[in-house]
Amino acid sequence: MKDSFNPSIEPPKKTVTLVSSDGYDFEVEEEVALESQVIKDGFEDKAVDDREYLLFNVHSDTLELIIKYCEKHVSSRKSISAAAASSSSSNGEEALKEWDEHFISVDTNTLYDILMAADYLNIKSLLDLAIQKVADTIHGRSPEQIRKKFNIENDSIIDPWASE
Amino acid sequence: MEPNYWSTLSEDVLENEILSKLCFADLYRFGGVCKPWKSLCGPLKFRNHLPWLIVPPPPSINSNKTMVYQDENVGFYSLCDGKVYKAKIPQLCNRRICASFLGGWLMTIHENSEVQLFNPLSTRPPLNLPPLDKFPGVQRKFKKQVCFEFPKLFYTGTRGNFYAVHASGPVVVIHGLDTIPYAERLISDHPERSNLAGLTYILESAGDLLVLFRSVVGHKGAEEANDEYPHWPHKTVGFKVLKLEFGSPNRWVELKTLGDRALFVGYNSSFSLLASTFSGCKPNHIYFTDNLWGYFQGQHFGGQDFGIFNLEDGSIQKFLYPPDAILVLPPPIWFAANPPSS
Repeated sequence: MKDSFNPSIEPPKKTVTLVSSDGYDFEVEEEVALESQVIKDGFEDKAVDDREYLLFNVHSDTLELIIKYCEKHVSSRKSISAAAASSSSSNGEEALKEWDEHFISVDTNTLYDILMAADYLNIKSLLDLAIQKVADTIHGRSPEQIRKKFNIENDSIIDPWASE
Repeated sequence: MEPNYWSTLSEDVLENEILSKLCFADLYRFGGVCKPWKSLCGPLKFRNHLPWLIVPPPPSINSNKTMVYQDENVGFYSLCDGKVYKAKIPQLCNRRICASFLGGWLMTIHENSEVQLFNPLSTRPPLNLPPLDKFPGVQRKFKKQVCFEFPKLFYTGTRGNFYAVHASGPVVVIHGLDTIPYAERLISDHPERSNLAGLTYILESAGDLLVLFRSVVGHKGAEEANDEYPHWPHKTVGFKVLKLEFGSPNRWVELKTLGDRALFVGYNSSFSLLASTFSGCKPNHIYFTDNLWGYFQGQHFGGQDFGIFNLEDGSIQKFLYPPDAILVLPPPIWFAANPPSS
């Protein structure tokens, strides 16, 4: 994946291959993949040449977003701790929050895919982000508006909690 | 992608993650979206929310400053944000709410004396109870705008008994519920009972059996009345909290503090909550609504004597809904979606 290619003066980093449900390979840095608790669990026990993960539940479109998110978080964490170490002022966390907000401002279909993938891969911070977005989307809306927003069919439930 | 995939979101994600981020009102609306979501909105999901007041829905106030329930249309008044959320509850059609219980259960009565128990948060069909005119000793007939006062019976799981308090003070325990019931008197009136005009409640709080005396003054008239309203509504001026200490003999102990507990009384089955587990809930306070029906029946006011009593300093914080109504029929009632275990 071209976005993830990051020329570096350090020795080449170890990578992991993630395979999407539609068969695309994504080679990502180990530390990026380890953002997923599912990958992290038992990672050390796996042989180095066997570090390939078949993600049957994650489509390539979604996987690309997930990797983008993890890369951003890995690099932000580094720059935040570097700034803290040199006691220079940093608005890294603030900036990351803004980035997150922008990242998760997607249509509800994409939001659903991200939520499912974050749940499947167990990426806690991303799952929290997606869930908060769902909660924010529900907030203050009538059932009818929620149905419309999430494209949910009205299964003709007796709707006692109508709008105000 | 199927159009309905959001509705089939895994229960795990929905229940443990999304629902925990929604406020009470959002949860209610959430439950109205589709059946799978509705099924997740059981009372247990609401455990951290302060009880609501069921009130007439706005804008049902008329020129006489009177509010009357519109059958199936009710309002849910939130103490947290001071707003009223309208709801349509078809099970209330031609019925009146006469009592409420922890867990979101409402008891309703039909004009023909039929009594039902149902939970607006649940998809379970209403339970039919024996009609009111089949209850032994019940004389009162259903009136269209009147709450039926549920007997002040109380069941406590810890002792496995039904306890009841008579309006005049003595506490009894009911035996033989599955054979021939009879009442055993546990303690006589509190000595000060005769000085305390008003209402009596019984409930369990933190393992103790409590009896509350609510002092109400009313019809003082003169200093507060005016031409328009010659009789001023009654109002609550205080509470006395007594604990029934079991021993030989049993004795009354007056409690000066409820600790971290908040009590809720009115037409509901009285209950106690651990205040710290409910956002915005005040410990050592008694949340009360107006259930002094007989007192103001036929008057031009009533139903609006509700507030929060502070046991520490005896002060009462009023919260009026709506602020200018002088007659609310029937009086608002607590709706507590919290599970009975709390």
